[in-house]
Amino acid sequence: MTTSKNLKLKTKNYQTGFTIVEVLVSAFVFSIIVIVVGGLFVQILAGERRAFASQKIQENGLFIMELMSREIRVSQIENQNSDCTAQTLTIIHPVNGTVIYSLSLDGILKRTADGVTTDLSSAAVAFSRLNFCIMGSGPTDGQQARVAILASIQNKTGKEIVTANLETAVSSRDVQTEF
Amino acid sequence: MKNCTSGRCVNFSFFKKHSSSTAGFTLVETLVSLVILSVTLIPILNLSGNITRINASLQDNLVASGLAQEGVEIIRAIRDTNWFNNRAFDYGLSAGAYQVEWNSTTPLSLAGSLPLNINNGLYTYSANSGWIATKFSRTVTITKINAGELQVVSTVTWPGRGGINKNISAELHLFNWK
Repeated sequence: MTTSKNLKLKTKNYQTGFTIVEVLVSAFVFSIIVIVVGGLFVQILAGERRAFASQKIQENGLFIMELMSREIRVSQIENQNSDCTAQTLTIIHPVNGTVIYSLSLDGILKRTADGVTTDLSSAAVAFSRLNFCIMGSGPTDGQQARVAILASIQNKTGKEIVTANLETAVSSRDVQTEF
Repeated sequence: MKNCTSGRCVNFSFFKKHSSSTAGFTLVETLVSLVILSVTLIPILNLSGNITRINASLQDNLVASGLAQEGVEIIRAIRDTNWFNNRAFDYGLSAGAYQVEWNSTTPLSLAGSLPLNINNGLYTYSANSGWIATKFSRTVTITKINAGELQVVSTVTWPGRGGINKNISAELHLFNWK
């Protein structure tokens, strides 16, 4: 009798399952943790995408601003537009000849040098704006030529659109043209 | 303990051993491990969030550096224009703090740290309708180092995260070399 009771108790101890309340509580706790961590994860994922888009914009923005500034400051400016509506810029570079900056319909910055057109910006970003403000480009206006470049760059992929509005101005380094 | 019928043997001791080793985790163990897992996950995810925020502030740096460059380029254009018109190279460029727009022919007087407004991608101080205030403000400081040299510092300031002002400066030295 004693041995059989002991045996029964022992067996009962090891075979006890969870009660329904325990299971419900644990499922509840688990789901709360999963919701919090999962929500955080989704948020981070969206942020990651935004950061990646922003990085692409920065890479392209830095490159085109630097490249255009370098070329414009040693060139003779062909257009004149003081109300910042010029969508193309034509310059005569001492080495590269006639260079035209323009925007394609799908927002890619193009550079045409001696009739050969190349893409300056990557297909990962779109220029929603490329305007030039040009002042003092005439040879006898008593003004040093200056060009302000206005560029708005956006990402093409992802739910969230990141826009960077870049502006810089370049003053011509040429002090011979109006001597 | 073997049970052999019709040539196939099943080792029951194997089953017995197996069943005693699959005692499983208790509920408390599982919950504790979940808590530890989530506690370690949170700082990792936080770190990732920080990277995102830093990236946004880097984009501000890029915009600000363009605006700072514009500040010094405009002063250079004014110096060159003075030469074209047979004026002293520093005509209209006396020492002081100013603000400039892309088409300024003289430095404008500084009205506090007024933010630049944007409209159609252009940053100016125009307050007409359609112009939206940006977080960037720009100050151009001219210092006369000697009779033939001007120091121009263009500083763009904007409020960063946590109310700390960030700034980017460009410096240019203009000489009377002509």
